[in-house]
Amino acid sequence: MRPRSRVAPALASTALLALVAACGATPGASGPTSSSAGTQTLTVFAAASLKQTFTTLGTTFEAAHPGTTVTFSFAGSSDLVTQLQQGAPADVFASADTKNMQKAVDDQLVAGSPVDFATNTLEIAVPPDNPAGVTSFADLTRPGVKVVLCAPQVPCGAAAQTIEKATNTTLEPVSEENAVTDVLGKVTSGEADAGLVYVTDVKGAGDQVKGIPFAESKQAVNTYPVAALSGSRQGELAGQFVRLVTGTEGQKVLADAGFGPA
Amino acid sequence: MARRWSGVPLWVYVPATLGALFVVLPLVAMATRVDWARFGALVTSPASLDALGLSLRTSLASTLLCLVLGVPMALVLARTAFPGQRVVRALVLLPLVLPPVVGGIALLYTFGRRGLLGHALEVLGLQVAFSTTAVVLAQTFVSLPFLVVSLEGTLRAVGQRYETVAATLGAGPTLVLRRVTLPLVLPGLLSGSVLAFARALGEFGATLTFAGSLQGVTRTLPLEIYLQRETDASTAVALSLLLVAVAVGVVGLAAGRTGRVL
Amino acid sequence: MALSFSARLQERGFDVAFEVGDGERLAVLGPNGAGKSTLLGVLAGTVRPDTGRAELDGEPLFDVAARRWPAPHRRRVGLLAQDPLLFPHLTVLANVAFGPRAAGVGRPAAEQAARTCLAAVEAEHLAGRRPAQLSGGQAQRVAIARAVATDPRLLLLDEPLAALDVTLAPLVRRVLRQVLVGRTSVLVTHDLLDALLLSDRVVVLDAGRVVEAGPTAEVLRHPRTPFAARLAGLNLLLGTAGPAGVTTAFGLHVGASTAGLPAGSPVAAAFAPSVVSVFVDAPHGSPRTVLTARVVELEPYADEVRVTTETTSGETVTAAVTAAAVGELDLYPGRAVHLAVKATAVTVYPV
Repeated sequence: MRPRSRVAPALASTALLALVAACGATPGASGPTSSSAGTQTLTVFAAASLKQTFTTLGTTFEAAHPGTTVTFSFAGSSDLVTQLQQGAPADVFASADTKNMQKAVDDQLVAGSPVDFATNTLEIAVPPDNPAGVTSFADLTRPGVKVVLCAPQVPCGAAAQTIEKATNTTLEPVSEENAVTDVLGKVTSGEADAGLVYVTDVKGAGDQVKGIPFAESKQAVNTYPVAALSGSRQGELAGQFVRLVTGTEGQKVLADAGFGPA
Repeated sequence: MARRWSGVPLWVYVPATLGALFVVLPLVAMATRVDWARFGALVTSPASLDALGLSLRTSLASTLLCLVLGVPMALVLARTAFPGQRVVRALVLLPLVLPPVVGGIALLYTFGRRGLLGHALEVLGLQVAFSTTAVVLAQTFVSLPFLVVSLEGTLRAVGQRYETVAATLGAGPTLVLRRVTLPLVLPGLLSGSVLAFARALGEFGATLTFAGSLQGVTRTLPLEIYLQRETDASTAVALSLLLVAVAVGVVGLAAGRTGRVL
Repeated sequence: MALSFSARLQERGFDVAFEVGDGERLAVLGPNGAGKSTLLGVLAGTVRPDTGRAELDGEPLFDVAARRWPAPHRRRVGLLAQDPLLFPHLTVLANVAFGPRAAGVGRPAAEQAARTCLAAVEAEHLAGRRPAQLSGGQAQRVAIARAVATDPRLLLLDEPLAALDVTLAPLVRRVLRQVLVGRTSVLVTHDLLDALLLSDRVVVLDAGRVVEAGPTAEVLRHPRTPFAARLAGLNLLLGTAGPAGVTTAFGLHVGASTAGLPAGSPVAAAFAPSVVSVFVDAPHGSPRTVLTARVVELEPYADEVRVTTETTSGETVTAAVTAAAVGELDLYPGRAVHLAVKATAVTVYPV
């Protein structure tokens, strides 16, 4: 029995090491460092609402830069800033609002200054059959119309609040969701009669919802800034990606998705 | 106190200690981030108190609902045999392994406005969506298996011998259940209820998907924490600690009552 | 409350019928798996037979063919098991009052009845205790009180003394003997003393059938089955009567008086282990049967040693010797020995 009792702890510690190694292999950890010769990886942290457009642009970028792989981390802008503050390695950061980009600037995470590259406005999203017959922003205040908003703590909710204040209206939502996807979910499932989300979200949802533009949305225009990050080891490449986003090609892709010009 | 021979190999203490640290350390880490000077103010803000009160009320309600539905279920599973029983048990326990979001979606398609029962409920004047009832349903859905599993195990362990004796003494099935079976399985019933309560208290995904999020109506403590995290990390941390304290309190209370921890 | 019973249960190979007279105490004996538990289960209502019918005092207790199968709580058939199974969350008094309360008797009257029953088992002073505070013997006495507090029409006893320490069993046995007076009861037991003291008649089950039945004293004095013989502590050889003894199917001959028995008729020869003498060398002379055998097992029994042997013809014969003799004869399993049985000590009876 003697020899075996020495093997067991060794096994246990091996298992532990394996676990630590596995846990360490997060996408961010191996992100920006260029790997083997000739290939390099560009890590882009982008707001969740940019998922479709940036994925397209990533493919374009890879085609133009053979040997380069672009990996994305899409999440809420505030989550991304928190991750960057905790030392997550990334080359480019695209935020859905200026507030979160400012946090990154304040913490000296940004190389140079951020560039605004797109805007987004709210639109009313209703189920395809529009059961409550909503046609205007004013309709949302009608009794019996179930409206779902984002919570004021998140950008889409803050935008809704700004519009409410500017137009001196009070919406009484049945729910204040954490994310645009949750608002869309309530609308597509027909639980809610209407929701306020971004134009791009309505476009992204395809046939599942109908978008109703409203003039009041001009009161809250969301601006998207992008910046190369100071922690990047491939500043040149990061700068090229930023230029792709702000250039003609990037702007066309963004406009197709419903984004407004910056 | 006399020390009894444990028979546990010494090396076992190493992974055991690591495991304990793995659970405890994150809680300690969280506690170190609490802004203690503002802790009182943070957890007693109207939004926090609403969330805490709602969480306690809905968890209590769902625990009661679990008892009403779960005790009969456990009895049928533990004491009877019928074709397809194993399949039924597996289905009943499904919420244990189901991601809560999936549970929320399933509930939506059942009790939602356009769900399986939604129309019938609407005819009866009941609107479940976006109501506190929806929160209770979501919590019950995820915590019911905990009660059923715990109680079924206890019922099987206790066996049927006492019940047989009670029947030969002339007691009918209902009297046996009330006077013999339930008192005998009280420890299991209690620990099952505590598990169900704790699970309901922590429920997030199904609630978010199914019930929405509105202060005082559907925004329970976990939803409030998730929302606060967007803007105010210190409130999120303070509320997290509060949730941990409530959970520890409930488990501790039950442990004191039954003389054992679950 | 006379009981007549018959039931068949294919799945367990159970096919048993018997009758018990009013106030008669029946003991059911038999090896493990013989069907004793099935029998009690069918009577109590927890095991449903394929076919069967039982009548208690002229009323049907159950009748499968007539779709009459009352639930256990509607039978007024009491059960006392090996374990007392007192409800741990109730006091002794509440345990005994449980049956009367279930029958709808008010609390004061039920408790009064419970006290009377506790007194009958000499346990009145335990009324306020919890089951966990009782010794095994006390708990079983309380269980007896609880079982009779409902005044069952039939009382089933499933090895009621088997779990008790030998020092505690006598008091409980005495209490049980008093309680069973005039009570129709069915007792399952493995114990000779229980059968002798707590039953008027026995049936022996084997493989789901009744293989022997009769008054207790008669069955134990003149057993006809190996099981009853073993319980009675007797050697039993089954064979045919000859002019001067009994010859078994294996050809073993035991000398005995067979006066009055026709030659060739089936008979049993029974003799106690104490009349079997063990020799290492063949003994000479004397009107004794001498068998050659091999020691199979040695087992201490009271102040002597039981030597189980197998004869060369394949019969099992047990001898009782002193501990000193084991040493002197150097007995051990596998040892070849000679057994002598005095003809006058062998009882022969027809089977």
